[in-house]
Amino acid sequence: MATYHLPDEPRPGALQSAATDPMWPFLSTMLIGPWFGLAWFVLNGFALGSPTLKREIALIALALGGKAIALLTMFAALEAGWIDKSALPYLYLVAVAVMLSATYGVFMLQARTFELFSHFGGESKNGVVVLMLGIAIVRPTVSPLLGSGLLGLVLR
Amino acid sequence: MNVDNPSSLIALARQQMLQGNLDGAIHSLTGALSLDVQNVTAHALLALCLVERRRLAAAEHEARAALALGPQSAFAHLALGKVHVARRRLREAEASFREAAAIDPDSDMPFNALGELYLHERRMREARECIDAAIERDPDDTSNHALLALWHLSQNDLARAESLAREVLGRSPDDHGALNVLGWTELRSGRIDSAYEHAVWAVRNAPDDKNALELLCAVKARRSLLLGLWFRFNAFIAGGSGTRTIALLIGMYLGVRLLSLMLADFGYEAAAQIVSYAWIAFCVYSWVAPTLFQRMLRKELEQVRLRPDF
Repeated sequence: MATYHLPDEPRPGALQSAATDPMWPFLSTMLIGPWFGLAWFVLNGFALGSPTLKREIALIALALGGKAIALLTMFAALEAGWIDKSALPYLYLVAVAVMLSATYGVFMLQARTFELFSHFGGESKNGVVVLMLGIAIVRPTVSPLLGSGLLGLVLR
Repeated sequence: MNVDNPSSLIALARQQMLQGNLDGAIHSLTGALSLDVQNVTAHALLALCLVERRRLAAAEHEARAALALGPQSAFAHLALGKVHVARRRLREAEASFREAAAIDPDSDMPFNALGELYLHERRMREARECIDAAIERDPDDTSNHALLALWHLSQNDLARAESLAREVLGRSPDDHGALNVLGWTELRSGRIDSAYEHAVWAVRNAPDDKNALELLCAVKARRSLLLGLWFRFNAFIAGGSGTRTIALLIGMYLGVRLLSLMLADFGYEAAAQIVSYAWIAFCVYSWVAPTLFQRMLRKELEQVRLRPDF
């Protein structure tokens, strides 16, 4: 007999043992860098068997693309002389807001899936060790490699 | 109970819903659908359970499945209407409830739902008409009378609201709608201790019920201004949809960053630093507060024992 599945229920796959509370990828986005946190979100989405994975990936693309567009617009406005250099920190807040909103969106989607995953008895890993190692080792090692160009500004 | 039979599982789910065992009901209904995926009632009931659990995407999927399988099912329209209400699509909800009432004009449920919707929108005359229509169709359903009590409360007729709520609780002691109404009438009449008991009882019955939490906050605020504010703030942050929470937190973050930048630009470096530190403290607090709030709420719920005369 086929079991009836609700559309929002997770269907964990082979990566199930890597599943973690999305709070950890979320914190790592802020404390290690978006490149790390957003990649972790994608991995966690697969591990949880998230039914909203496509929307999560779309939001991650929006986070990166939106921040890049905001930064490019800012630099173009500066080049054209429409804004003063002192306005940059204020305008940078727009880029941060785009990135934060989309990341929060991914977090909320995954948090709902994670709640159901735990409800159905799924075991999750504690992400604190990865977060600490990321802050202590990965961030200082990788961040300089990203450079100070547009890519570095978006991913860092 | 024969678990190989969808009807038995649906009957079991109905019982579980009445007892507030939503997870059990969801399990029974998915079991029923595993046996008969075309069952309209199972899809619609499942939608109602999922609405209560705030799993709105799944609830909408189930309600629409019910409607696709049974476009003439009043219950399917009702379930979709409840999903619309939960998603704050009030016009669509009204249309669904009206459709349900047109298909099954003898049922009280669509009129009860419409009454509740109009009451929420402060359309008092229409609300009263629908509540009366619901009572006329099923005078024994206590939820219709509890809704009438709420209508009287909204009209500030405290005496009538209280007597109706007491009447409902006499017949159905766990009716959280009536408990809320009674709590509010007692609070407004200055009977704080009694209001507190009813508020806690209502929250205990329905921990996710926004009205019950609001009542508890109001009682707390009456007892201690500071504690009341704290409760209110937590309920404000935790309440509402995920999108609202995101907008709220990001708005707060941007506000703080903007203030900090402006203070630094105007030469108040120390003040800018203080604002930044205050924000970090708030962030730490926001991680801890929900746990504290829930623990405090649980403590409140454990402390209350009903008086023998309740």
